[in-house]
Amino acid sequence: MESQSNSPEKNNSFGFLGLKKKIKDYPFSRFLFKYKSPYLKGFFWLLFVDFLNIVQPLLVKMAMDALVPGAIRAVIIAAVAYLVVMVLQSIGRYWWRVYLIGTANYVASDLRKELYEHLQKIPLMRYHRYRTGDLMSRATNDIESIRMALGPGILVALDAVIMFLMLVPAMLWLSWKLTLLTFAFYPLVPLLTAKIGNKVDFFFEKMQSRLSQMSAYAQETFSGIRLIKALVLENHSDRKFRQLSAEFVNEGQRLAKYESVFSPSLSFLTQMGTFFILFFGGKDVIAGAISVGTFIAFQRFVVQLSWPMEAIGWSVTMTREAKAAERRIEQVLQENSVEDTYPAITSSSLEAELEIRDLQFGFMQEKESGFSLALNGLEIPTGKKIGLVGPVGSGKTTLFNLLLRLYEPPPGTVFLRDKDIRTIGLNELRNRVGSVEQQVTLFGESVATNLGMGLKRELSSGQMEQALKVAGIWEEVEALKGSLETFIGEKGVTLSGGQRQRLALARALLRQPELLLLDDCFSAVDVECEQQIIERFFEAYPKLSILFSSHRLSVMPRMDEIWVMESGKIISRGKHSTLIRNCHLYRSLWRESEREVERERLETGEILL
Amino acid sequence: MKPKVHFEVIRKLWPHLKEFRFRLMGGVLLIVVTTSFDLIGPILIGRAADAVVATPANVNLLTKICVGFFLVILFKAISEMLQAVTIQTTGLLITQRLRLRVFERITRFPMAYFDEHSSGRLITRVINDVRSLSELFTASMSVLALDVMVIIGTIVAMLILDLKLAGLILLTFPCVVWAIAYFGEKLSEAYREARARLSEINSFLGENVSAMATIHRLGAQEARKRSFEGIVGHHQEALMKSIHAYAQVQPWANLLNGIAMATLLGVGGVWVIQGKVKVGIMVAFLAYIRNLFQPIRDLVEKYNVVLSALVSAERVARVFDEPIEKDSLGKVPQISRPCGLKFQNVSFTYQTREEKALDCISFELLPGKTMAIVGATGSGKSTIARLLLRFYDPTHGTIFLGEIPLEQWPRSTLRKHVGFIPQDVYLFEGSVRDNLMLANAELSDLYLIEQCKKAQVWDFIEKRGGLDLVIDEGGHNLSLGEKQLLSFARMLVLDPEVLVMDEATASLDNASEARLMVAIRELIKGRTALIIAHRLSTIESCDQVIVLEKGILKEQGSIPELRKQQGLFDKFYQLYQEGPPC
Repeated sequence: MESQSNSPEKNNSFGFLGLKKKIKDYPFSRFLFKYKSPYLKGFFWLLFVDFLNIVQPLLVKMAMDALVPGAIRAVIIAAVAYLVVMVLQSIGRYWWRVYLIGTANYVASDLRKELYEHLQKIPLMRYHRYRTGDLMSRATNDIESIRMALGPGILVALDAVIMFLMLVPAMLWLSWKLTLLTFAFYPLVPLLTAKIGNKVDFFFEKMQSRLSQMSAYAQETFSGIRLIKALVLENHSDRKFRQLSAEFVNEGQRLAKYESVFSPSLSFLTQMGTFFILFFGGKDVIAGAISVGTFIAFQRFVVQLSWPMEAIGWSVTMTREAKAAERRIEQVLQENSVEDTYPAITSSSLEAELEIRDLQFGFMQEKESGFSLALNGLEIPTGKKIGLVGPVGSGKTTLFNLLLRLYEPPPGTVFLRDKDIRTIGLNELRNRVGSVEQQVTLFGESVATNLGMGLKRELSSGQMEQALKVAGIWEEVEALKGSLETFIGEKGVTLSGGQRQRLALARALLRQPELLLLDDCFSAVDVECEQQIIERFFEAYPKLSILFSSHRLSVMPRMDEIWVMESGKIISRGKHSTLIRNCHLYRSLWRESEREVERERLETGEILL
Repeated sequence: MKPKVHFEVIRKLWPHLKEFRFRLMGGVLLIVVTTSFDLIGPILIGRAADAVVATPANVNLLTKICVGFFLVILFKAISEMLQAVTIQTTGLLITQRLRLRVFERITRFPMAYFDEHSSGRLITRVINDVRSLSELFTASMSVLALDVMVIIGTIVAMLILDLKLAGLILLTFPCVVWAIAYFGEKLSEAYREARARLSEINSFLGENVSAMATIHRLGAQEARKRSFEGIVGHHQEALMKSIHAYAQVQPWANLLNGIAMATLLGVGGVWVIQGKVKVGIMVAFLAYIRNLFQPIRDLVEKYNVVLSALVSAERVARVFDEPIEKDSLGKVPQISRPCGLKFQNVSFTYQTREEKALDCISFELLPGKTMAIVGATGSGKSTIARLLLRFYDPTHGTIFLGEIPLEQWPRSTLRKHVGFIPQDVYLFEGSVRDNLMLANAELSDLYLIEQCKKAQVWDFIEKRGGLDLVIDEGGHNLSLGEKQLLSFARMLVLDPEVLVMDEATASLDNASEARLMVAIRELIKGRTALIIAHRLSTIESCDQVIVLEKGILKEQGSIPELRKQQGLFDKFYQLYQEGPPC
């Protein structure tokens, strides 16, 4: 009894004093608190199993001690008891596995969802600083490391601590002298862990960063393969990849050296315990100080001790890996999300009347060339159709991004019905201000799901049909095998570029926006088709305000007003008939576009016929 | 059936790993050494027990045994370290070798392969699959070998020590094997499912992480989140199934372990009392039973790793099965500078499409002359460029470069002579200097700057770091026009005999337009050039024009000739000539 109450104190260094802090420090410890109940249940079953682990050697001792006096009954009892213990242990093992490892899966799923949800909230300007591959790796590999730490990692660490705390009293109870001998070398353990563990940690992180460099390089190579082949850079890229790979192997080999020393030396230390027991314990038996059973049971205790020792190595590695993963995931989770706490505006108060006052915007990181937008005194009255034209790179797309708050405009510059758009909830803003971009993105779902993507209400097939008709794609959708329910493949690969653009237009229309931003969204649709869509569409939505940019100017005469943009400024505005006379840039853009159109017609043979 | 397939995969990959066979064998040898030390331990402990209980007790013998034991654990630690180093290092080297081979192989696949495989999937081959495969040869192999060795060694040692007792205890062993086979099958089924679900998660992420801007536009965060939660939920279920399956295996091993121990304690104990068995044997057996069941647990654990490694192995093997671009290995043709080129009845159909992209095209371009290709999107202009670079080979007909048929040119030589400027500018991550020099590290800065000046791009970059200006991923810090001019400078540095250019369609402001024209003139000076032209000014600077329509060559000749024909070209030349409507 006395020795048992002693033991926790004795093992303070192993974690009781700093326990709370240790738990807090554990990667993503908040999940430990969230899933307290299953973790505690798992902990209980672990205690149960480990307790039975201690009983086993004692039963062996009982049997061995009975051998000498020749008590067959005691031997049989011990054997049967042993079997019972093992059966109970089997049950216990089933449950702790389900509770501890199973819970870690819930944690990983939670974290995955949380991370993905957060990714959706990061302002795009910041979001685009991450590479896609990098984010992917955080959401997959790093979360796997966390899962390992919060499942097997915790299991192993707890198991080790519990085993240790139970073994020591049991051993002291059998023989304090042999116990002390067993632990003679143990002070070396923390020393070894700290020394080698740090190195392992260091080289592991280095290796990981080399790996992600390689991965990034492979990405660059494969996506630019056409040029690599055209410039005959295959050998060059091999060399560079080989170089990256060699650096990776270098770090890896250093890591291997430290890791290979680590676990054999730990197991050597436990084996030294066995050695002492063999020698001194053997002498004790001869001297009659302890029984043969104690001698044998002690051997088994020492063997059992090897597990906590091994577990230290394991859990140290897993925790360190998880720590690194936690840093990488936390980095993303720490990214400020776009604030979106503004109260909804009652719809009557908000009819599209967009106003831009003194808007200046630049990409901060480039000081000199710093492309910037400077706009003032622009407005889109309700129901007006505005055209936006300008050479490539003049800032049209940036303007669209600002109006949607994909890029955050400075406060007090963009107003929707006299309300600063920065004070309008994001979802609300983007429901009221619809948009279709040139590089249309569809999702690997059905046509109907794509159309209703992000909408709160259900769409009737009638509504969808109407929108698809306006967008001039209804017949093509109807002709698909499953009509609206047809699966369109990842990113909509089964559709042509023009089909995707028209589908995206229908998607935008179904959101019933008050203002629609169309950013050169008919680039893959032919002229005739574009004209028809525009006619139909303006007719069907007379109250919808539109800001329409296009590199083809053929529909510009239909616009109520046209803004001509150059180098981030509106240099001229007015109707087509005015601009064609007064604005040199507009004239040359128009001329070029008309030629393009004519050429296209010519080539498709329409004019010749 | 299944194991056979697996062996097939390893046999396929073996040639790439053959040179590591000595290292692998060394690893296995060290495993054998470590294992044998493990087997000696229990015997010595048993002997010690015998020495202790003997009457009179033999202290001398005990001391000797203890010294022996110390040596055993010392050597075991040493051989364990050597084994770990050998196996880990071998694993790294195998990973490196395979990774390089896979990477090199992929970059040599024909373009058609890249049309069908996303770069994301290819990266998975190079990084993840190779890693998981190398685990097959290292972690799994070493553990498997070790475990199997321990099991066999232990059984043999037990049988030698006491045949009858060992036989009795090992009666449970067939049950163990059966339990593992039965539950193992269930388990691997569950793991397979979990893996499939995980790849669903990954492909969802792949699609959506790159489509974030659209998700924001649509305000589709909620909907996407829900979809993701659904997928994660499925994965979760599959994982839980696998955990239950796994949790069922372990207790069985535990139970059988218990039966073996109970047999030993009960039957063995009675036999010791009856004097049929020595105490030492029983003590040794206690350790051996432990030795026997630990590796069985390990094996179950490693089974999954091995399975997923084999899946990866199959994928990697498939990379090696795929044919790479065939190349002529004959002597490298010589050409004079400048050299001409000729298309003779060339037809081409893409594998993925049905209609012909080019239909019986013939034309000749004399050395040093320039030719504009005019035609609508899809008329086959880009295909001509691709065939000339041998991204694809013609289905019919022959293309000649300097009188020599294209098939006789090794691709690398050909592409050194034929420079290609694609429509979408692609710059590599790194500095401007890296992008200009590419593989050639011996060019002076002076020379590079001179080329930049010729390409009209120097004054853009001079103030922003000059040749040291770092271009970030995707080249977001340069404007479109700047990027284009920089790609011109790169071509000037490469200085090929023949130039193929797919002119960008983007409309530029007047100043940029003028700059571009100067650069283009510089570029085609002294070269044979084939330009897919979109600007009249570009067309006018060419000697010859061909007009394509739906893969058929409609008109061909100099601008005055074509105008005289009053055909297609003349029509749009007139359009271009008209002044702005004032």
